[in-house]
Amino acid sequence: MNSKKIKSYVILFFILALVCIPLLISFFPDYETKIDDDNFRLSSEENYEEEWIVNRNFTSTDSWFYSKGNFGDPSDLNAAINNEEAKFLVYGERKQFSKLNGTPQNIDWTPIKKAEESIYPDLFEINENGCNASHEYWEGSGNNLFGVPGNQTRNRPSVLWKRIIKMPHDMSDYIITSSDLIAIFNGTANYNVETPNDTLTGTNPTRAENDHTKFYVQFTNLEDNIRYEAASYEPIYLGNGSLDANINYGPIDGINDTYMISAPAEVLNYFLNRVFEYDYQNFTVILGIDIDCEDNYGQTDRDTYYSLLIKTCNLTFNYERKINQLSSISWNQICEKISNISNYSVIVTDARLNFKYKINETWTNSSPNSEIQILVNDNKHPETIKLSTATSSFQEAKMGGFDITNLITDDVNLSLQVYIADNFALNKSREISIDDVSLKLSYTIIKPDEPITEGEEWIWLVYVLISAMIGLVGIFTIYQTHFKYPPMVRKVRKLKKKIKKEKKIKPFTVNSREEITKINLEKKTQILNLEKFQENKKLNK
Amino acid sequence: MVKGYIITKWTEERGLMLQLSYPETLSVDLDDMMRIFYAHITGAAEAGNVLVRLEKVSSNVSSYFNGMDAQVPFMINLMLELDEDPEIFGEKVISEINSNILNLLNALINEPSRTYDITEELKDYIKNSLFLLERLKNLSKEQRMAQIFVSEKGSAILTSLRENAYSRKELRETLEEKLGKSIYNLEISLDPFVKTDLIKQDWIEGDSDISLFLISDFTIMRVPATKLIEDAKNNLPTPYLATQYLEQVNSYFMNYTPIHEDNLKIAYDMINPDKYDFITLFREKAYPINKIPKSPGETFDEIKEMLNTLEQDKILTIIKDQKGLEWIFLLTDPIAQTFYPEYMIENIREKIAQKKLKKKTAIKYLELLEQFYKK
Repeated sequence: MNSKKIKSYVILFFILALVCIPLLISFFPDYETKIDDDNFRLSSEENYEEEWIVNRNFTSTDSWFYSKGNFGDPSDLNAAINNEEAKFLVYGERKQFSKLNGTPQNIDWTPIKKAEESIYPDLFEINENGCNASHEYWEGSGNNLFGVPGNQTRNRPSVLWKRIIKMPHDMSDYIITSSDLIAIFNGTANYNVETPNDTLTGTNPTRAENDHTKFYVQFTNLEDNIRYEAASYEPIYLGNGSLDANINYGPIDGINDTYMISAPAEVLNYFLNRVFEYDYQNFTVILGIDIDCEDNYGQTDRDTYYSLLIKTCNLTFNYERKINQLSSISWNQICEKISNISNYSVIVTDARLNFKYKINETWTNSSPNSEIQILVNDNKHPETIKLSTATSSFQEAKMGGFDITNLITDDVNLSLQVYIADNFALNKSREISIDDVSLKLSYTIIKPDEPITEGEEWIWLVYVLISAMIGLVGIFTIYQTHFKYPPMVRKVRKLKKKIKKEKKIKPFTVNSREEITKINLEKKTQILNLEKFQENKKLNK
Repeated sequence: MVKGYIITKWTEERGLMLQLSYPETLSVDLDDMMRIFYAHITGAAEAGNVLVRLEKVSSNVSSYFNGMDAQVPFMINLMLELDEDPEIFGEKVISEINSNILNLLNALINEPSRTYDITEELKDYIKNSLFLLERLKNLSKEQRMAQIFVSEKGSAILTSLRENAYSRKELRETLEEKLGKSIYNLEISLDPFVKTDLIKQDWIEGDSDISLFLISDFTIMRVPATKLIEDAKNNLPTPYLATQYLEQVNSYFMNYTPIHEDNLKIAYDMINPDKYDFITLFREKAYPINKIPKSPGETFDEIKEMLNTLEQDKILTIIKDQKGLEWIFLLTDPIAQTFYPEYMIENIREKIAQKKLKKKTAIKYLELLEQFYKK
């Protein structure tokens, strides 16, 4: 018999039980529903009103327990009972990052190429003034100013310095709420650099982009999957001043300390939040200098950048605790069951819930939808209390209380739940308190005019009959699953079951071929009564 | 349906020549005969059998060649339908027929003065042989079991399946190892097993080959002829004969134990259609020798000869009544006794314990054993 059949027998048994038990009960003369026609009696109604909450002022932790929802981030919330109040805690905090500031130090930064195939400037270093790059593009023969042989292809050098920043917290639980990036650079170049205002005097002069440089700050994750330019500046007039191409060096032009142009704060926040999505603990800041020397003449060109210096880089940002949507926490009480009130029928006519609530500090505007919810037997009452309405002093949840009559069944399991309805950053923890929880139940007990008997006289018989029925079904099931089959098939089924369950199996007692043949022959020769024949034969002898 | 016989001979002067075809209307293509001849001589040109498929004439040919060293090299070709295989007649029957035909052919060569008579005898023999082959195609279940029992291949299959379940491929490999020859037509060999409900073929999920399970077994043995014993206990056909008969049967079974050699002997009697007809006839009733029902064309001498053979094999017994009339009784009833292979339960348990049987296969086998159990 397969499991489907067994299931169907079990279902059949329950259906039988459901049908038969009421029928059996109705046969008993003392049963309360039987109406005595000769002496018809009216029942009486008694009305009560009763406070249903135990320990409603939280004088101790008795009868109350808290539970956290499975969604959102349960660690965002906590609960406690103290000062005779039940508290919901929503953890918030604000932290600041300011480790990256001042003049870059050699120990913190590592030079890297912009790309595998790119070239470094003639000179690059971190000195007491910051990150410096010097380069002279010289197409002619012999060494340039920095001792590097002339080379027409060394016209686009770059150097980057990177610094890995390790955050003290797991940033997955925080949101960057404000940020500021200040990067200062300066530079000096010779007039031999061709800039937009220069007059080109030399053989076949050409210009497209002129000679120029770029200073910049970038954010990236450790694996460099994404890279955001947080600040940059292109001083296109550095080296401004015309110089005949035949003259190697002219006067020196400079750009004083200048702020790179940073991305707006919201954009910086976005960049930082994005890089933290790749790695919740680490990110990389890059300081970069690009140099682009255009070959402006048919004759040899020389472009000299004496110093390109990133002097300062200050990055500060604030981050706040991230509160996850759908997080929830409840204070719960499993109240007395309605059926415990009386042995008679009880009808709940009204159930009014009320409580007081407050918050230690005004709720954040970032989450206008978060609220206190009322649940009875896991069913949510439609009216809620927005946390934004909470003040620092206790107030009643609702004047006159919430009518939760329709949520009351026999069970009365009350939950007051703080529900976080938005994803948001919380700069400071909030403490929402509730007190004076009240559930006033009005109910009616319907009693007959004479007390009913408890039914001890007959209940034993019901038990006996039910037991008998269970016994019969059991016997039927055992027959269907076991005794219905011949012993041989039982062996087969037993072996099959054991093999399926991969259990160890003891040898079976079965007849061998020879034994079966012998048995069959004995059966077939029974007709002859050979024993008698043998006896007769002996006697004759 | 068996088409007939074509007999050719090889001569140095004229090559392959037709010796005889029966029935005479059977068309003969000498090119086809040459193909068969080549199939024989491409080996060592020794005597032996080949099975050749001739698509053009839609025939399977079971051909016997007596070898190039023979006095006259003869090729005896049994022409069958494409879906027929000589194995369906049993291994020994065809070779026995071939042997007898060859004897007559040799007689034809050695006794030229009797050419006509021998040719007629040969035709007659072939005619009877074809009739026998047709009858062999319609054996009863117990005859098929007897055929399995006497067949080398059938017996090997049965022995293997009594040990374990096999996929067809595994069974073929096992048989090839046991018998030392290639097995090309396992389907045909399994046919009597299927027709007698001895095996069940089923797919097991995940396996690429069909698996074979022995769900019923049999043994060949002698048992008392129930009906005749009952009659004898009621003093039939006469009190004297009944007493004599019961005495003989009791004496026989007092010391009877089935042994393989005896079982083989009675199995051969069972697969002979003529003998089997007599066995089934005498299971019901004893006959006086002069009242035995005869088939058309059967002579008394032929019947007597067959009865003598069966008497020698202790299947029949001849008892004279008080008037001296010979009565034929079935002394022992040769049967193929089927039974439930309960020993397979323990076999399966052992094979599982030894990991020689896959779990899925074992479960499938047990399901079949449960399904096919008969009280």
